[in-house]
Amino acid sequence: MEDMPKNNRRDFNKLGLMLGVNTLLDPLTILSTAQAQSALNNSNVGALEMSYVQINLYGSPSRWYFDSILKPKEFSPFKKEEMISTTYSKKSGFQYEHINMHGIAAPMLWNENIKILNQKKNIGSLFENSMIIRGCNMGADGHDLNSRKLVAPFSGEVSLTGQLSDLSHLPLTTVQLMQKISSQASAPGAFKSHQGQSPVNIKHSQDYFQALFGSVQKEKTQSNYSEIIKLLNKNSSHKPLFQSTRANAKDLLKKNINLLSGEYEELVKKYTTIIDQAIGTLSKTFFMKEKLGGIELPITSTNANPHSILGPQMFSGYFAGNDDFRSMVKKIEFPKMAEQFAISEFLIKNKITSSILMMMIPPEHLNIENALELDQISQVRIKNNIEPKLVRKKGTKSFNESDEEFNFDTHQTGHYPDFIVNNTYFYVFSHCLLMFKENLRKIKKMDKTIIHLTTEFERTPKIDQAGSDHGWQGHTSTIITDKLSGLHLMGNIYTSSPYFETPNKRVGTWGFGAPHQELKGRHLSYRNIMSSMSYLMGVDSITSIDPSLIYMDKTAGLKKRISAINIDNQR
Amino acid sequence: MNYFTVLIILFFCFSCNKKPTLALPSGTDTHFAKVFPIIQEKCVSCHSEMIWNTTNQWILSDYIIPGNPKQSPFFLSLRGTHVKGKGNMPIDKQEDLTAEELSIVENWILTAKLIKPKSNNTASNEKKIISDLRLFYRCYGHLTQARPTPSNIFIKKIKNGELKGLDACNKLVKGMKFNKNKLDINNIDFTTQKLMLRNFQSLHSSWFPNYNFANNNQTWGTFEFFDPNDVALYITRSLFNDQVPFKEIFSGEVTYSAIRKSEFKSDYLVYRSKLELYQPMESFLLSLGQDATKPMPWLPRPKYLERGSLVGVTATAMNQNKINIGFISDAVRKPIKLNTDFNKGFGGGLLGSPGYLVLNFGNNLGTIMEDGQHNMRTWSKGIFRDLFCRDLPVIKISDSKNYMDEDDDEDRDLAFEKSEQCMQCHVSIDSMAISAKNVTVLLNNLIAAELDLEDMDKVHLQTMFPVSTKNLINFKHPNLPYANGNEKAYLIYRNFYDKLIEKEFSNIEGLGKAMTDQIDPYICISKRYFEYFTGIKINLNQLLKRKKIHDAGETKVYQLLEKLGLELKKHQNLKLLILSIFNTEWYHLQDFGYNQYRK
Amino acid sequence: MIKIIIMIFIFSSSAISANSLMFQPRMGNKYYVNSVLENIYGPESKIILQKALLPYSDFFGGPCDPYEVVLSKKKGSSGTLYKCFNGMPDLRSHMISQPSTLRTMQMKNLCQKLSQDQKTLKFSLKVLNNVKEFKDKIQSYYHSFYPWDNLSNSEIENIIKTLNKKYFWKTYSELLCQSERWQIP
Repeated sequence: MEDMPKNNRRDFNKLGLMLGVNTLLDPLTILSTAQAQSALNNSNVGALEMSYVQINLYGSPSRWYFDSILKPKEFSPFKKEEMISTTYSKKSGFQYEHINMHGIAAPMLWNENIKILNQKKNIGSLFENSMIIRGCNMGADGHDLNSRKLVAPFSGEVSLTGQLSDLSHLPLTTVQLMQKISSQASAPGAFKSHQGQSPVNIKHSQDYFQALFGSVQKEKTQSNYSEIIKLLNKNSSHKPLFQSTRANAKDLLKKNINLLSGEYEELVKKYTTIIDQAIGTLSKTFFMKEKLGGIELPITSTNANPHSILGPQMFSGYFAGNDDFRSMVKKIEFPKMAEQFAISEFLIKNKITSSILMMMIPPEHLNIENALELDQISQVRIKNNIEPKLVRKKGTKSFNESDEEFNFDTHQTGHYPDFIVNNTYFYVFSHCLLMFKENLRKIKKMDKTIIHLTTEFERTPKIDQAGSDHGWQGHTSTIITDKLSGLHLMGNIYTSSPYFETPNKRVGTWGFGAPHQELKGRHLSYRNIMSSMSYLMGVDSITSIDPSLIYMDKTAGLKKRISAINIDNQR
Repeated sequence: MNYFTVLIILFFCFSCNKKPTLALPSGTDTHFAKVFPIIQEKCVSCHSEMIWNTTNQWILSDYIIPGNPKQSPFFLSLRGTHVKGKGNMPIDKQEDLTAEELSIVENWILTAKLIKPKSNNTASNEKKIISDLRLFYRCYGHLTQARPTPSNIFIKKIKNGELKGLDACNKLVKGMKFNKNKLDINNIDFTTQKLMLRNFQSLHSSWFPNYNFANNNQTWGTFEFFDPNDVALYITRSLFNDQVPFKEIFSGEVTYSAIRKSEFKSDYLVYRSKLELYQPMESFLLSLGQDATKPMPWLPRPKYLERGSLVGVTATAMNQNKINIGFISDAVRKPIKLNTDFNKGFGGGLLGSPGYLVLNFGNNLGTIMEDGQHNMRTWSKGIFRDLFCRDLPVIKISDSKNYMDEDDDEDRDLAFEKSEQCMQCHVSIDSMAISAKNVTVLLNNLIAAELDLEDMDKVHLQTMFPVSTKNLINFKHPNLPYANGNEKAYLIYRNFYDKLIEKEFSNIEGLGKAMTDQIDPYICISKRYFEYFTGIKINLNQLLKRKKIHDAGETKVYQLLEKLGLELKKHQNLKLLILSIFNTEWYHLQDFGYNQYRK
Repeated sequence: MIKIIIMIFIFSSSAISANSLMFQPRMGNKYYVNSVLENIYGPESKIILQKALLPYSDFFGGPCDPYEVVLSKKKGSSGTLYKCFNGMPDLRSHMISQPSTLRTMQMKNLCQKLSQDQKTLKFSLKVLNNVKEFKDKIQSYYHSFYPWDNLSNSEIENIIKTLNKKYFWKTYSELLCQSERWQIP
């Protein structure tokens, strides 16, 4: 054993792991873990036990409905912003209401109940063991720039996924599930490992299982042929390494492929069922309780700009005129959501992968009615002493669209569609995430898994509510793992933007990161979040100069290094 | 207490911890065994690097000096010791080390010793030298990324015994040359030379990890003006041109462009498709990757950078592309008047080339360096990484003390300047960054302006370019004394021989000169070529840190790098460097010493 | 008890901070592999290589160069070998690569396709045109992949004995293609 090159031992152990041999004290594991020390990384002796799953909503949808906690406590300073709302009723309009849960003032969505595996749980239970870090200033604007940062905080240098790949003993160390667009310029493209490892990138259009295991399913090579390959490799010093990678590939692809395929299909069915269940119970949710009617033309308006009145109804650059905006989601679909969760669960359960990057795909098949373009609306004054009205221009017709795609980057998604579609998305998404979490718990993996829900940044609503822009001075990362107990909220925010850099200077509390005394007057950096995750996973941080925000105290248990307060800076 | 018991107890103790820590190796001295849990408990939560589980690692990190607690930075940082140090750790006073614990730490340092590992020579001493023919196939493959055809003249001669493999390789290398800035198309070996040119440009580019101009606001238009690999052209030019000494890559304001040859002109720009058609019918195709459906041409054609196979490197003409307006962002459209030449460097050859500055700017667009929070640190860090092959820190922690102000300067409120650990990196990068203090990066929409585009596309097609604040017209600098001042920049680092270097200079050109006077850039380039040809990856930081405990392989590599570096500094010829590598024993071994020196 | 002894045994050999040298097999990147295979399997192999080798610069290494690619609406294209198949990050694929499960899997796939395609296999067998003896044919074909050494008699006999007579050349081609030693330039 001692003579085997270290990579070979690692591959050998991957095989062992595949066969289910996995106790910490197993001699094989110890042998490979100790000798698997990378020459470049001398502090990590243990094989990576943890799995890392990053759920990345590229485009950055509005998260105040879900896990962007803008008001930690009932009495936290807060400046209301019309578009940043968690509830709607005809009586009171849009409000930022909350429910007390896990020690914080949580968004209303957490109160919704879900039936999972014959149990009733509320969405808030997703966060019962979690860390929500808000108010992280990303330093600069840009989707791709910040998306790459989420994985590799120092541009051009090793990524978290790369580091974990180097430490991993599993056959396919990193799997990346791509989105429809902008994939390689964003987080998946930032993968970099010291040892030249590669991730497996699967396009959204591919069948996930086929992409991973389909290529050599028809292999008919006989076992004695590998002896011939050995012969052809003659006396190369690398023969043992070649042999083990080949054995690994063979076993990975051939072993019980039918059984595994069946297992994956079962999982897809389960997630599809839960998604259907979620869609079926949509009408009972708090956000679908009441009709959300759009404004109809003609309407009195002294302002000639339609945005002033119709802003909240903006969608993809035109004004949606749905009589009831709830109808937007009547045929909503969630492409690849079931498959993404299914393959992730499958890969972790079968110990095939150590880190997974899920680039989520926005929902589709939204229904728009009576829509009008900007240039189809004009202001008219019928008589001198009657107030002017906004009307549909003569000769133009409104249009319907039943197949609209949602864009997470909601620059041109007004308040009404934003409220309905994002709440719907997070409602359905929570079903899948909760099932994912509970399934991992059942197989005792949830304390060895870090689920990291993240986007590039928060959003700043436009004054006319016709959309929202990039709030790159605030970012939220939510980490869910049974390695934690309780909900740990961290990060200070201002109640309003302290300087007028963005056009949205007059908006209320949206999550602009504020400084921390504990960090010597600095605001949070994403590198602190990176260090915190590394701490949980028991690996060296690739951003070690920025400390972890949590640490273990010998008597008090897990402690937070920073606070989560709203700093009132309203003028 | 015997070692066994200690080990078992420690094993069970650590298995209770939520964060898996390292167990202590067998043979650990009792002093360190006592210190280790104290450090794990009171230091590691903030200082994750202090997870080291051997005294050796502590000594090699320079955190402790064997036998000398009074000079050991670690001991000096602890509160409650009898020595005069910072004495401010741990941060939380409630976590202070007790008197007994401090005494344990002191005893440990007093008795600490560096232990050289026993040579673990289970490897075979048999050296498999490859045949001449094999050597030729090897070097041909390395030089061209291709296989020679069986009819190759060199192969015939080697088979006939008329030529040695090494001589054939040497001839190939010597064939890498330009005739007036480009390959001679009439040369019988033009095809092979083209392959070698392409290969080496690729290799040189791979040494510069930052390549993506699509930073703020997806500034894809920048790819039409600057090739992200144009930094590498400086090195490729020196390799293919014997009249260009290596040190010239660090000097001058001239920038370089690729000379490319193709049979027809390209209709496409280098940009990603938007997957939508705009009115009027404008859509653009990426040459860069996936999801392209039906390509549609986009006029005007690319005109600033050539397309086709690389055949040469030429100096970019100046005064051709002058810019008069810049913007800070697409949102803030207030134009800033300026006067700059797009293709002029900032001195120091590749150090001040526009591509390198933009890719390593590291600040928000339009940021003005004011000697404090904002500085060209990403750039100077990049220089240490790319051209010295070193990761920060590059000085010892005890060195940083000498560069810290004793008095609290009320005007400066930078937290990192008060911390030795922070300054260990900042001393080197900040003092170098002063030389680029007048650089900023702005936007222009040179490409978008020529097209009739919707607003969104204008956003995505901005071009970034560096400009000196001195070229901004009617501009109010927030820190004019700093901008106009004569504050010197410094090159401060510990070199290959562990000697602390401190060289003064004023601008980027001066930095280039200071660098070429040192051995380290030469060693860095030698290391990179050696890694490429043999596959043996060298962590230079580790190699230098471990100097006192090198094993056989490391000793050989260290000596080789020194030799190659000194030779290159003398002859300034990259071809000779490659030939030297071909001449090493490593290159003639079947698996490059895999069995002889691998641990 | 045994586990503890094993632990001690392991840790004693890794007691010092890790070595600064990493010895890895220096595998050729996709351009090298492409060059060798195109020479052996002929111009018809281009399509297969385009699909099953060139897009995988992640596994094989081989950085792209978008400025090499010339696309003209009227006149066609050139330099597409250097296309960035997976977008921007291919600019920084490694120059050389290491053996990995993923590379091995992809080579299996590629070699299967090359040896199963009639045209490419036929082209590769052209080297046997003037060779009479069966054993010499095996040697000659071996030289396509390994021009710098020879198979011994016993090795040739082993090959003859093991491989199925019916699909001999197809199998032999596939196995030679899959063997890793030629992939190190």
